[in-house]
Amino acid sequence: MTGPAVTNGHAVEVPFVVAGRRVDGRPPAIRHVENPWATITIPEFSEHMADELTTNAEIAALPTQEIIAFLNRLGCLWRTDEYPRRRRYVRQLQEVRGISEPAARSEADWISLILRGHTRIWDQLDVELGSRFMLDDWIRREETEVRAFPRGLSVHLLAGNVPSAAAVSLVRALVTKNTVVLKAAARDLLTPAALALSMLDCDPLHPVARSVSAVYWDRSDEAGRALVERADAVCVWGTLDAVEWVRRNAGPEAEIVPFGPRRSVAVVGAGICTGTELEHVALALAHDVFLHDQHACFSAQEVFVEAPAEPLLQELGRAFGRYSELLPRSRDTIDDAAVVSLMRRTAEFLGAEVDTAADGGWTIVRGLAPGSQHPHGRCLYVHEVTSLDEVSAHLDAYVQTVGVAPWDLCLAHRDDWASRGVSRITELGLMNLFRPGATHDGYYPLSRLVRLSSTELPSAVHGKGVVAPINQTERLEHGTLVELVMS
Amino acid sequence: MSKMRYGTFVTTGQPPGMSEGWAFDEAVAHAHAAENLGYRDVWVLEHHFTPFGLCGDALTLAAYLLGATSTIDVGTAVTVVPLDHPIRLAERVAMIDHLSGGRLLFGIGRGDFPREFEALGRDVSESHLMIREGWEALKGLWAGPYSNDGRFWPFGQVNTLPKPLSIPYPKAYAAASSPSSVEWAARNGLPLLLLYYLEDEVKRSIVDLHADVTRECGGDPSLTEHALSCVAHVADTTEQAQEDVLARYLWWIKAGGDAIYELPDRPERREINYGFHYARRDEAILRGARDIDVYNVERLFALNPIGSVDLCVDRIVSKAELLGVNHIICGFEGVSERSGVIESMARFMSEVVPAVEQRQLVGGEVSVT
Repeated sequence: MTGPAVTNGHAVEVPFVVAGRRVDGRPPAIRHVENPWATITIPEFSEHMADELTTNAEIAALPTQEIIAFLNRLGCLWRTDEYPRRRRYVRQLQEVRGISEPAARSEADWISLILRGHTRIWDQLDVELGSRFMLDDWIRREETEVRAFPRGLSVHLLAGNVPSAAAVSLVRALVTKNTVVLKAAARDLLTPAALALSMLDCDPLHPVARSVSAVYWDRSDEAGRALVERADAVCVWGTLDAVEWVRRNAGPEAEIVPFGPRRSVAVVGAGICTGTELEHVALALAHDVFLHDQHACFSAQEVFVEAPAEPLLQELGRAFGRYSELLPRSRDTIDDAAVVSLMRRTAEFLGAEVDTAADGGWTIVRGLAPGSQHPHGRCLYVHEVTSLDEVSAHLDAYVQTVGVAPWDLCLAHRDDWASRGVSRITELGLMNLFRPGATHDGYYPLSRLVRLSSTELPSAVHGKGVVAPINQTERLEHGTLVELVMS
Repeated sequence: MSKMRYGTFVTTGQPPGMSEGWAFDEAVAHAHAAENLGYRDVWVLEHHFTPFGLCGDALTLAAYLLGATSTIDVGTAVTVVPLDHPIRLAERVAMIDHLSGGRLLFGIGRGDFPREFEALGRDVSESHLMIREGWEALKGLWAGPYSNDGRFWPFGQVNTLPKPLSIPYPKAYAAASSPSSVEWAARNGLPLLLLYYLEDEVKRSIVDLHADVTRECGGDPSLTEHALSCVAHVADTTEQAQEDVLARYLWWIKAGGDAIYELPDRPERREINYGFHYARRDEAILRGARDIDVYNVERLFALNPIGSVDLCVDRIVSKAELLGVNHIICGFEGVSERSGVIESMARFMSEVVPAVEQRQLVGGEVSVT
């Protein structure tokens, strides 16, 4: 067990936000959600609430620039620790989720970065939709003009493993002008509410603020299921079970945008073996292991090291020690600690080398088979390979990110790895940074959150390769349809 | 919810064309009117070098008003602790507490206007540290012989006299909106004077943060009695009410803004302690406001009980419910004539207050916020 001792269970009340309106829990319409550190009291999600969650035409009519400007204002609030809501959020992440203070601050920093990254959001629209103007105007595409429209009501079933992922889902849906219902995960009831409430801090009457809701229901709740059934788009983060539940319950026309279970790996080539470069690679790997305690799908769980692995292993201990200071680990639950402990014992029994921090805060295991069950909690499985060609056999469509060092490994292997199903390849140390243009689990999410309409040119325009006016009736009558296109 | 307590502000603002004497005459007249109308407290402001408020020493004016009235409490909103010596403050507060029979409410803050610090040779970037040291010294001096080895007011052991009549000291409040100051206030058991220009959800997050820290310190947040400041005006219609106060508010906001933003191109401008001033201005620009003063007056209209009786009732009830406060302090000096101010105060007390009580009694729905 690491981190401050758990002294007592906190009692915390978290409100819902329904269509931009704060809703506090009032007995008896309340629900208690317990975790190892706190009992969280929230309102009971009701059919009446669900009825209020309908598509808001205001945001659909808003110019994209106004949405992005509002998000930027919001992100500027979150930038400073002297913003009261951020301060309380950081405190509560520690109290309610056991996250260390630096890690909690890091989450708040990421929320700020995600919200205020306006130039990157424009780039993302440009790349993923083909034009950053696509949601505001008809854009010429060959012989048609195309415009993107929001799907309408988007419901986001969050996983809660990475708190700031709620901001990612929120921004994606808002910049595509969708109405947003953030359905919190039981393990993170704080982030969706904090995001929605901070919009009310900023401007409670703004159409964006009025288009966002933050609620919770559990899977047995009929009101929640019915809401998913009438949603126009459902983003689902988390387990395969969650994705399958959405597929069963979403409406036939709904766009399902799944971010299901993925794992990520690191690959280090033999070219790096000495000096500052080795230190840099070890720190980069430590970053990708330590951020979010490996609960993120982009966290490296295992590293393939081109032989010899010893120089990197020696450097890794120091790097992990450094990152233990930079991002102290979340408080363990007894169950978490037991799973890690069992993994260590099992690995030792199987003859693997196990290196553990003095306080148990991290573990490096060398000698387990690739793909062995992984317990999270900053455990890195090291696999020494004689050739990086061996790595391919362990990659499939469930691998989200491969982080590489040195970078030229990417050029040498990306065709092979990507054809096996890998979604992203990044430099080691940057696995969490989704650059504009990056794919997420194999696709562009913004493109899934819009529908496209086209207006096509009239008959007066022949079109490329057509040699005569398009009069289909006449051509059918004369049997000359086949001549319509130039040979 | 316990019965609501109402107070009022007197600003000692000196609008163009009015004399300095007029500003003080109005303040005294409004304080008398408040007492006669059943308000429980009247609060005085403290500023320097600005017609925004001519009162440069809130305790002096509070002492005068306490002497001129007989039942109403008088509060300082606020005494700027960094700008005074704690020994002098401790003595004056304790003396006024005695002279008034315990009717002094001691509101403190770390100061709002950077120029005051510059003129008085204080470093505005350290105001948050000064108020902490100053408050520790005040508590120590009121409790017994005390010496201070702090950075700002080091002194050997002294025993200030008199000790306060109120035990352990007059009821104190902190005007705080930054999280660091809110946490400090909570650790010291100081309820907040909640600021009238913040969005309601921001105020709520401040109250929640205060409650978290109070609980951490072993206290019971439900016993904390914050006071909510508002600007208020009652008229037959909301449009009429806004029209009544528009000119005075524009002047008052501009005068305040001039005092706050008087440090262009100076490093202090972006001091983290005062970032919230500039955040408000930046926000106005980002919202597309062409005139920050007009923008700020519009924000006052949107957030405060300025309007018809129904609107005022809705706003008071919704704010009291959201923030859990039962103490509202309203500034009525939005119209130029004394009679207009007092009429608005009277109408608030005779029409808004009973309706609020009735609404709270039956737990009615709030339709307008």
